[in-house]
Amino acid sequence: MADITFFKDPGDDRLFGVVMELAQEVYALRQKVRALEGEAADTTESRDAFVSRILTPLTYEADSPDPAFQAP
Amino acid sequence: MSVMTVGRHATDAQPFTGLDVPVPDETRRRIDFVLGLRHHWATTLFRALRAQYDAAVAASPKKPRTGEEAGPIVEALPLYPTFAWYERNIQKMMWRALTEACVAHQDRLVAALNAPVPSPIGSLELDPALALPDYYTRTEFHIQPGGVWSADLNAFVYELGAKVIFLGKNDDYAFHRLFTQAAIPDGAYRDILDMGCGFGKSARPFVDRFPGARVVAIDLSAPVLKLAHRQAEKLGKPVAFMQRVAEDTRFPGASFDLVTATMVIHEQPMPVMKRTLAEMRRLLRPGGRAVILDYHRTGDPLRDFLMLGHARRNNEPFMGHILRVDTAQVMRDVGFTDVALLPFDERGAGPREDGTWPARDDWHFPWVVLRGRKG
Repeated sequence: MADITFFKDPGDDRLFGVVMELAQEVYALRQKVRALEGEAADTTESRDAFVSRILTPLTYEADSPDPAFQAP
Repeated sequence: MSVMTVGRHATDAQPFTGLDVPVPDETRRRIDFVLGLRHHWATTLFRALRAQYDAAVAASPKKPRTGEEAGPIVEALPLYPTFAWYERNIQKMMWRALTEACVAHQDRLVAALNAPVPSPIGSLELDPALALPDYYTRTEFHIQPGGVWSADLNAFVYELGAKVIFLGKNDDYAFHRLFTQAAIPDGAYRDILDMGCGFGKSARPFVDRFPGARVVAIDLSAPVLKLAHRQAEKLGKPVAFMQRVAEDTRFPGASFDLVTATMVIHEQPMPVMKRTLAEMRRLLRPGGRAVILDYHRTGDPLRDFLMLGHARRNNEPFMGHILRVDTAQVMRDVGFTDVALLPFDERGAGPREDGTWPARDDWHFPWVVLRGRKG
């Protein structure tokens, strides 16, 4: 049975999933490297900052809105 | 299980109460990332969605008054598909990681679950002949693969999910202790029944608050009841766990002074929910109380529409009913008196006696306490 999809192209749902799986891998590897190098694991705050950096493109508008002017 | 606030501290969560089986580091890191996603979704993404909604409403001649009326506006917001995708798929990522953690210790966990408990102070009564309701077996509630009932290991997956998702550092289940301490009126309760007890996190606090009472807890799922019994014994909490159906418990009438159901009735089809409320009343002695913790619409059209969508996105297909009806009136309809419905702030304040919702800009579940008395 097909799962629920949320984007106009269901392929985008899968693509989003692939990107998140990759991001999860990067996070896990980052933690592993920190452990191997004897560094402390990410804190909750640094983890949240990591996630925020990855997801910032979703809310670009809030960072730098379209100035909505016509060039002369 | 549903989620009221975002977990933040997966790396601190102690898995598998009473069992020395660690979550593998790799899995723990995956879970931690999922919690980071959930936090971002419930704060940054929700606030951005709110900003888009407010702008759209300001530009619209029609001002939505309900979740249903807000629907067309919300569905047209640029961020809505993303917000919705995250809600469902974060949950799926979580179950995958939690299942991985439990499968790593499958043989040991299942053996522990089925080992006899020496010198129990409580009890466990399973009913292998019990016919589980179709609505229950046909729905993988909360998107948990196989639900909580179809395999022993699923009880551990569910328990671990409750630990890391509810509050992250949630070994002592502060949510349920708060409900027991703040939402249950004082009283000389001799016999307490907790319906839909799961692995016992809602039942155990009654032993502490009402130490002289007999605490009985029922659920449909044999695996979670076995886990509940084991954990209660480990923690020294005498509870009688029984596999029974909430809407038809087969207990004698007027045999309890307090009957509770936390996070249960929103998973039931409306006719079953009404029968459950009627059963609660039948079980109470005159003057006894029913106290329920569940969801209710908030009057904020955006939140209420998102909650209606959550029902589908989180495989909780009957939740929409409870968000649309006046559950307090349903309680009155089955004969309860002194009915009250109070928003419940899980961050520490508990039930809000003035009936108002807390001012919050993050996403949260719309918990309410519903109380009634058998006259």
